[in-house]
Amino acid sequence: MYKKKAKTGIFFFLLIMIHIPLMGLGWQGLYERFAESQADAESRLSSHSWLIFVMDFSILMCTPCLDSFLNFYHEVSRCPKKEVVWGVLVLDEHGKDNAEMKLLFRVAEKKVRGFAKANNIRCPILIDSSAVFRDIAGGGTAIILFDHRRNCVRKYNFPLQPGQKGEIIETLTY
Amino acid sequence: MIERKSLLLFLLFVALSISQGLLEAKELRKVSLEEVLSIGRLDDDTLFQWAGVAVDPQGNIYLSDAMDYSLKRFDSQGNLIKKAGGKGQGPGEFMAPRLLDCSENYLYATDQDFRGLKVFDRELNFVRNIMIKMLVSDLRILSDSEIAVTSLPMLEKPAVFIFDQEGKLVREIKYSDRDSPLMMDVVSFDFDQERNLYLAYNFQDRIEKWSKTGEKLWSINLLKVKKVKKKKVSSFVVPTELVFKDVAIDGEGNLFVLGGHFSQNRSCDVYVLNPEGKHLATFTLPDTSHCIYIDGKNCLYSRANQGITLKKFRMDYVYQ
Repeated sequence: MYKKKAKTGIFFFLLIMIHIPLMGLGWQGLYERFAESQADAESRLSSHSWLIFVMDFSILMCTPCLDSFLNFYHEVSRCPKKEVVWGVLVLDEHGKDNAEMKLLFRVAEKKVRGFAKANNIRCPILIDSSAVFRDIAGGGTAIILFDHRRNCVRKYNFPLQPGQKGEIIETLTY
Repeated sequence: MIERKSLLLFLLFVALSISQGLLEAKELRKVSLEEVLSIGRLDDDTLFQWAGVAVDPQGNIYLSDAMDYSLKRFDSQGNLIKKAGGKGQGPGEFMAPRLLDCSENYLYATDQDFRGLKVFDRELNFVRNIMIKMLVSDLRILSDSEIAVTSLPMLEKPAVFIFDQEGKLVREIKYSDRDSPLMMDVVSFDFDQERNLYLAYNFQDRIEKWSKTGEKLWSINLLKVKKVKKKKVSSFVVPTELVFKDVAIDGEGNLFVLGGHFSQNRSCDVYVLNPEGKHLATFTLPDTSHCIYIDGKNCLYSRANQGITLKKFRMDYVYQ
């Protein structure tokens, strides 16, 4: 029994060893590719500014309250580096048991899907069921900007003050 | 022989009188709900956040969905037949669809910041706008030529306004003369078949009945709520706790009032009152709802899963 398993293992190992050179990689190539992709990712991370929208679930229930956010999002999404935008939806776990939180999570998931589809939002929106970002959202909508150029993190609340929109877009597109 | 006939007639008269008396004494004591339809699940894309509901005499269900800016028509089995609307300010589009009601021919819809109504046919084809120059906070369609609305009292006087199909004001029932604090005179309303008006104040413990000529017939405090919490928003102080959320009238003329923050089961308890304002019964919805709707067959509609699901219940009445 064990002999058979060992034989199968050896067979697959040899198969992989044969296929790596066949795919034109080779061990050295494989390592180089991995190192390259790591470097790419690191370079992307270190040279871009990042932006996270933080939105409270209660605001999502009031679609007109999100108009200024939506206008801003669509301006940002026209930026060439739009992949640096993420969204976080904060759920309030206060006073809810596990079953209620599970239900709320599914409700939020569905509402986010509908909201994103209806408003053509393409950035990933994650659900913060532990309310890690609750104080940042402050019951409304906020932005955290990781400003690479100035080496700092800034927070903005909606509705944005005059000039803040331009400042954020300029930071993202730099 | 004559004596015997007289006796029989007398007995018949007595029997009829007793049965009449029994019928008059019949009073609703309990309402039980049986779920007969559920539209929208957590794992489908049917409804995201429905806001308004209306049902036509054929049992077709119309819903406004605030999350995807649409109107949706379902058949009586709950199958989605058509979706219309979309985000925008063009003909038949919405920025925030809200209230719905229907007449024999048309469906009327409100858009949160639109001063008027949007009219659709039963197939959800846009027909026209009715401009009434006020933001609508509640809506009932009495007929195509009698459109009853309320607006926020801070924008208009506290009254139920009745417009014709052209948006011309036909009459108004002014329900408050007082200079109330901001938002305190906001009401939900409905009319019975005799066109008497029923009001439930959203931020006060007050339910009222007004005659069609504009006289107050009665006013009651049901929950003994003295004060609601208020909050300062910008430079305004506004109430934040709803006492009553919605009203609806069944085919027998009973008034159904959905309670808010002060009810034992918040946003679930429904109080049933007779046309004289006597509290007959209270029942509890299985999930919190922002509104209730009763169709021509005495079925009640309410919300579940925070607007993802519409529930339809058959109401069974238990009489004393």
